Amino acid sequence: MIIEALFPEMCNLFGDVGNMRYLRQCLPDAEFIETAYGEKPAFAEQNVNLLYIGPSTENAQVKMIEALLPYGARLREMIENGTVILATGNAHEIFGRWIEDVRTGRVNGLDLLDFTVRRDMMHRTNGPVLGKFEGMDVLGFRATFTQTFPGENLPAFLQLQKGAGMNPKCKTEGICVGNFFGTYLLGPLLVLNPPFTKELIRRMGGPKEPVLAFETEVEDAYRERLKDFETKVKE
Amino acid sequence: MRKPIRFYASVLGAKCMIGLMRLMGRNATNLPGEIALYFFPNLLRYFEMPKTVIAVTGTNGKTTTSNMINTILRENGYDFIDNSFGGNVDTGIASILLSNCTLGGKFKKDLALFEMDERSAPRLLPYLAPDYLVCTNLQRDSMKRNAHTEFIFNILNENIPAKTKLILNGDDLISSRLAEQNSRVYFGLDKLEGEIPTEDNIICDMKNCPKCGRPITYTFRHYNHIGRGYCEHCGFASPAIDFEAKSVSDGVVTILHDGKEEHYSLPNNRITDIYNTTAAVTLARTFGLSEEQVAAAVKKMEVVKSRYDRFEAAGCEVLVTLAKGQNPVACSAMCDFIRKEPGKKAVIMILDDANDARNSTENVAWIYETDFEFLKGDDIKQIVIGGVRCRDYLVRCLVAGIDREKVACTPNEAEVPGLLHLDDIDKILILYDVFNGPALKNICDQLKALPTGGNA
Repeated sequence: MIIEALFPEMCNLFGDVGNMRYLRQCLPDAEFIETAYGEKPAFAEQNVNLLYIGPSTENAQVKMIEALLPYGARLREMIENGTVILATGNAHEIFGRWIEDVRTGRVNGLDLLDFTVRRDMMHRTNGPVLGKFEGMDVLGFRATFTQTFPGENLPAFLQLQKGAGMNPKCKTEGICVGNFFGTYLLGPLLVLNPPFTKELIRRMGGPKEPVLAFETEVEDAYRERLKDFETKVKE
Repeated sequence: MRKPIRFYASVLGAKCMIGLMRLMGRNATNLPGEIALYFFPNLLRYFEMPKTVIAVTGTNGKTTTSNMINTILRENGYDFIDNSFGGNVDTGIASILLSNCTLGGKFKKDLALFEMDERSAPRLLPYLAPDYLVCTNLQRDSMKRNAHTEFIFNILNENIPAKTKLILNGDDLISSRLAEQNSRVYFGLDKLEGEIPTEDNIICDMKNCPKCGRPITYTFRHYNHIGRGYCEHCGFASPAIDFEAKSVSDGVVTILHDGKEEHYSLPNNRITDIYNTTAAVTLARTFGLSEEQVAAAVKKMEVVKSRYDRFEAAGCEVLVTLAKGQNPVACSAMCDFIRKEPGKKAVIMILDDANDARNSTENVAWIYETDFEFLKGDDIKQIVIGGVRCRDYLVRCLVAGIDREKVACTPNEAEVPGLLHLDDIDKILILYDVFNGPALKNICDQLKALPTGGNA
C-alpha cells in the first residue's frame, strides 16, 4: 500500500500531521511518501492508495495550485478512477474553480470539482461539527476564514447534525466525489473518528475488518467525545 | 484635534464607573474600556497619547518581557502608565487610558508602556502609535483565534506606523521581516556552549523561504523555527544581530553590542528567559539607558510566580509550570523542559480549556502539534492526566510512543494525586493551563499533605 502526503512542510497547520502519524501506526507495512514543494509528486508516475493533503496558509494555497496545475489531468483521472484522496482543513479549496478573497481578489483553482470559495480574513468560522456519513457519526472541528459554495450536483461528505456547513446556508459539510473526501474538519480527523478511519482503509484496499492502532483507547475517546457533542454542543 | 462630544461623554462616564468599581473593591481592568468602546468605537483615536509610547507584543514572552521592561524603567526612576495589572487587548488598554487621562483625553505622564495582544494590532497600533515596538517572536498559537503565523504577521505588518522603531528577534525569520521600511534593532541568541538544541519539534513554521519558496537551511535552531538560517537559492538570510547573547555563566548572560561585552543577571537559564531578558535589555539600551543602569535593575527581576513555582512535597521536588493550553509552541517548550530536567520524574497534566470543559467540547487538534514525544524517555516514570479530555490526551501519549502502563487518567482533576506512585520519584512536574488555577491549587494542597515518601 502506498500513501503519499503532499507538501507536508506547508500543509501541516492545526495538528493535521497527526493523521499521517496515526496512519503509519495503523498500517505499519505501508509505504509512506512525503513529497516536498518543488518535487515531482509520486502520484504523477505511479498509483497511490491514498493521497493526503492537509491545511495550509493562503499564500501556500497559491503556490500549491501553481505546483499542481501541470498534474491537473492526472488528478482528474485519479478522482474518476476512485483513488482515495483526503483533503482536510482548507486543502480541498485548491480543487475548485476559484478562491475569491474579499480584499485581494480571485485566484483560479485547479478546476477539477464544481465549487467556488469565498475568503474574508476578518471573519473566522470556528466550532465543533457533527455529521453523518453512510450512517457513521463523524465529528471534528472547523476554523477557517473561508466558505465553500458547491455546485448543484456536487455530492457532500456529511449530512450536518451540529455546527457549520460549507457556507451559512448549507446543511452539508465537505465534498465526497467517489473516493475524494474534502472536508473543512481539521486536525487529527482519523484519530478522532475510528469508524471513518476503518472505512477509509477499506477503500484504500486494506482489509475488510481493519484493526486500528490503540483501538480500545481511540474508541473510548470517540465515544466520550460523541457524548459531549450530543449533550453540550448546540445545533 | 477637535474631539466629538461622544468622546468627552465616554471619558466622563468611564471615569465615574472606574471610581464606583474601585469603591466596591473591584479592579477596573476591562469593563470600563469595553463599555466605552461599545458606546464610542472610535474612542482610541481621540486620546492625545503620552510623549513616548513603548509597546510589547509577540506570541510568547510578551508578558514576561513587558514586566522586565517595567522593572528596568521603574528602578531607573521613570513614572509611567502601564497595563501590567490589566488586559492587553483593546478593552483593557482603553480602560488603562481612561483611568489615567484627563477629562480632555490628555495624560500627565510623558511615558506609557503597554503589553499588546498581537491579534489586537488593527484596533490598537494605529492609535497607540508606539515610538518603540518590541516583538518577542511570532509562533503558532491558538488556531481558533490566531489562525496561523502568516495571518498574525500580516495584521501586524499592515498596522505598524512608519515612525515606530522596531525591536525585533533576529532569530525569528518570521517577525524579523516586519515593516521592512522601519528603523529597527535586532536582538538574538547565539548557539550556547553546551546547549542541547531542540531541533525535533513537530512545528517549524519557516521551512520554506518567504521570498522564493525553496527550503531554508538552518545553521542552528534553538527550538521550532527560532535560530539562524538562509536560503541557498535567493540569498534571503537571518539579519545581523545588534544585541547578541553570546554565553551564559552562573546566572549571568553576556550580550555583545557594538563589539563590547555587557553582562546582565538572568531570572533563570531557560532559552526563552534568555530571549526575554535580551529583548528587555535591547529595548532599555535603545531607549537610552546605560549598561550600568540596566544591569542594576535587571538584578531585581523575578519570574512571575504564577508562571513558574517550586516546592517540596512527599520528599519530592515539585515544579509547577504554566503550559498555556491551546498554544502548541509554549506547551512543547514545557515538555522539552521536562525532558531535560534531571532525575526520575512523574508528570501531571491538567490542560483542558476550562470554559470548553464546562460548556462545549474542546478542539484538541493542537495537542497533535505539541511535542508530547518529548515525554517518552525512561526517566519519566509516570504521567497522570486530569480533566474531561483525559482520554484524548491518553491517545495522544500513545501516538507519541509513550508506554501505556506509564499513563493514568481521570476526568476529575481532584483524583490526580491519588493516581501517583511516588516510590521511585525525585521530581513531580505539573503542566497546567492558566485557567485551571483552582484545580491546580487542589492538587498542590493534596501533594503538600502527603507524608514524605508516601503515596496518596
